[in-house]
Amino acid sequence: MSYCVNCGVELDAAAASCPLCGTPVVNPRAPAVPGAPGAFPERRGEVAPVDRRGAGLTVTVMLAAASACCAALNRFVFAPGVPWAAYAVGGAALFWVLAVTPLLWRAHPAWRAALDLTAVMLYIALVARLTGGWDWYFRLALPIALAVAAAVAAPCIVAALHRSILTTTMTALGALAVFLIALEALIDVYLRAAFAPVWSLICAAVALVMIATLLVVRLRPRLREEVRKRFHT
Amino acid sequence: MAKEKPSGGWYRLDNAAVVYSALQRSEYSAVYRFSVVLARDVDPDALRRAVARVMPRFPGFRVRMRRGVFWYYLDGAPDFVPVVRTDIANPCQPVRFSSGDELLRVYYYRARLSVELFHALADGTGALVFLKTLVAQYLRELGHDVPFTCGVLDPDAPPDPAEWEDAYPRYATSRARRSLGEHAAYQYAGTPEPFYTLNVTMGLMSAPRVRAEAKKLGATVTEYLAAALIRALIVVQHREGRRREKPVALVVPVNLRPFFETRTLRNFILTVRPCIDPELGEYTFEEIVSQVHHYMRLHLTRQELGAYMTQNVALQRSKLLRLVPSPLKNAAMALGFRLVGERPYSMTLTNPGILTLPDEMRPHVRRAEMILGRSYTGLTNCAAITCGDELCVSFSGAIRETHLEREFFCFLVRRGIPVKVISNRKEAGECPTV
Repeated sequence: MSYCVNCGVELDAAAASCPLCGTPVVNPRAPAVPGAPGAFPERRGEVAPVDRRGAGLTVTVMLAAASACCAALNRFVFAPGVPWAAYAVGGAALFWVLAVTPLLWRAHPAWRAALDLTAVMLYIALVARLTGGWDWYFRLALPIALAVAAAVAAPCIVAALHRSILTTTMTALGALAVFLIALEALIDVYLRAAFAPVWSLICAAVALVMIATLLVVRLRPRLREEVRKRFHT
Repeated sequence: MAKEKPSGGWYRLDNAAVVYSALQRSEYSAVYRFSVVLARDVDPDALRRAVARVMPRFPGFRVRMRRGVFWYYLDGAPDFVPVVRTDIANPCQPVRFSSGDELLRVYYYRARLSVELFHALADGTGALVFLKTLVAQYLRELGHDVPFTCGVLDPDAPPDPAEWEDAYPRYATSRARRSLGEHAAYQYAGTPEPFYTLNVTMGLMSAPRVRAEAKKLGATVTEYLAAALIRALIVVQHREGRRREKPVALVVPVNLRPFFETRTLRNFILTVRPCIDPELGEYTFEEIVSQVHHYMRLHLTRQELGAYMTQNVALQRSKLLRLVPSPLKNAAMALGFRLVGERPYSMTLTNPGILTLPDEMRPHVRRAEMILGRSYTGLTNCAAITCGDELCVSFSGAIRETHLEREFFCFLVRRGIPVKVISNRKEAGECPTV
């Protein structure tokens, strides 16, 4: 039998080093036998992941069938001249991308968010195409959707980098402030062709005050501890 | 909740099972393992025959988890016999209900025979009865004569409905309610291991020696081990150089059967929380033992445990909550547990006690082992079990470093208790020298 010279514990006969500290076993009278079976097996086991493709395919078939029915009814029965089925088919396609693709495709959240955003934009483009509204689409809908995506992405990225809750909250507030200013600017430019900020500045000012408060808390350990104590759950 | 209806071939989840089912995720495994190391290598064919023979005696384990509208439930699977597999290096893998995963698994590796259970099925007491019955039947398959004593059940006897009772509602009758609303405790953490890893480090030691050491300090073995673990956590936290050290608290499951009469093999446990706050000053080991001992004596009373039970069962009895769909309930429970449920605890220490065996089995069983699955934040857990003269203390978790294990076992060595360490780790994490 061998003992770890560092920890003082007895070691398994097959151990080449101490499992607690990694110190190699050097015992000329009882050398570790390479390849000898250890106290535990070597083979790793893995539980098979849940297969959700069945549910995904079922919903896909249901959506496809509903879309085909709508298209047929539109073409042959109800108001053939008005393409109302396009809204239903487009809505089904949007739902499919949002709800079913996660069941069929394991992807990084960033890719998934990009796909969802693209699907939403395409559906709004379909509405714009059917209503002849390319002007509001390019000048209002598309920029607002991109601004929403950017405002949501910023705190998510910060959170993914394992920053503190305070940092993430500050980022979220900052992104919200920028988004609101951009939103008012887009609406003003679209409606009046001139940017005259009012309500967005008020919201941004409130957000900035909150950010400044959180920043002070973030940078002062004693204050942070006090806040943690007062708000502990 | 309404009364149990075992005749229908399905079981409502008991109070503990509701929680474990809601929490089960890939990164949280409510699966635990009991093993016995036999005197000779396991014969897989005899083991398969033994498993097939004993399973009908345990209808509560012949089940699959199913999702009801308002609650999960255990659906009877009368033909279910767990597949006997060669053991794996990373035990206690999580259960995935949707894939029809087995809630009871049987493994063997050389002389080790292991049983893994999802905690919704049974607590340690129930699992040990199953393990003893299985090992006894296995020995009988090999030609040994083993009597039905010391908790070994007769596999040919009809199942006893009393063994599958949900005992919580029967004793949750206290007027007062108690809940463990405690402050955040120190969370032992480190470099997380890749997914599907469970590092296990076991210390094997003389049970009479530990018992004698504990007795010297007026404590039980569980209290002594809890104190040694708290001390190790205090030392590890102190080394981290925190400006303000957090309390070190263990969650220790308590078997309720000695307090409330029942023959159930299902869950019937509660937890207690021995705690030491390092901010109060330095504690000697003897003082920690004393604190833990008196905490246990003070709080392990029939009345207080009944009040905790009443509080826990109240959630299941609430008419409003019962009508909330199960996905919402489970998500809320999982989120709550993740955010605040684990915060008051540094880690789990469980000690189901002594595995008593009939005299005829003793020459064939060298020792028993217990391993816990991984938690969300307290990434390392500790389990102890005694069989004969050998006490096995195991640490299991998904942390690369071995600071805590080393501190714990080295301390026992310094107290004059020789420890033999075995592990499934490929290489030890970096450790400071003492």
